[in-house]
Amino acid sequence: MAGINGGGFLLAVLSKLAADEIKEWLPKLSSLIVRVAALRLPPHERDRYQEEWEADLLEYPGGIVRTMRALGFIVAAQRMQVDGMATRFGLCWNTAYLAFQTVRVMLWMELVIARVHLSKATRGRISAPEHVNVAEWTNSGRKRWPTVLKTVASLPLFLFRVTLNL
Amino acid sequence: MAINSPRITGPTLQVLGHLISNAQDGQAGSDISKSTGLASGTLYPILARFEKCGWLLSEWEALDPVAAGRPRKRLYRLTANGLSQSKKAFSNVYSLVGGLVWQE
Repeated sequence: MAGINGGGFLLAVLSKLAADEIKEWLPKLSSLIVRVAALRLPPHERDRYQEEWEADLLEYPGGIVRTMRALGFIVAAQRMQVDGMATRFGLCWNTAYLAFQTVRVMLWMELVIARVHLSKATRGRISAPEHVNVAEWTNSGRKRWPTVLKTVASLPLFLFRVTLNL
Repeated sequence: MAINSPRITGPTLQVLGHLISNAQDGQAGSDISKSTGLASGTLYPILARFEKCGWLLSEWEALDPVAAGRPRKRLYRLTANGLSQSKKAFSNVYSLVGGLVWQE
């Protein structure tokens, strides 16, 4: 019984410490989220919205509410990007949204594929013959070049993304 | 950069309604959000859209952020064009809704 009480007490103390820690970090997290959201906007609008959104957050009490509202700014930034894209290319909003999401999915697929190739290259999944030095094998062009080529092949998509400011 | 005319939806009407009833004072995004209940992810794109098509003007509140120890709010106000366009949008909606009610 004493053990349970001791365990319960320890758990309570740890919970309190964790809660205090989270309480301390939430404002910083909200501020970070606002900065990330503002970074998704065109460069000339970033400073304005960062300040505006930080002022907005201060109007709400409580770290969790502020964090939730800060997350909403990421959604806002994304919608504003779609608006910008629709205006720039003369598209209707739904078409611009579809194009935006398609490019985002393509980008993430490219990143995942690049990561898988990188992982294969660094881990040396292709087993080296016994008479070959493993270090030499890993550094050989046979593994390095496909990764380099795939990275180069993914560059147009990155440039497309930068052009659209996605 | 000018957009012809923003889409008129339920949330946009809520924002316009709040701005019309507080046309004298500049309204911060948080004020509009509290009054209309719109989330930040919905509200700010609407404000940006209205601003780009010239229905809204925005300006920083007169405050020194360093002295005040907090960032400045951005205050939104309807332009003359925005006010007339908003009233037109509301009258269109009311005529439509009125028609539906009358049909019943």
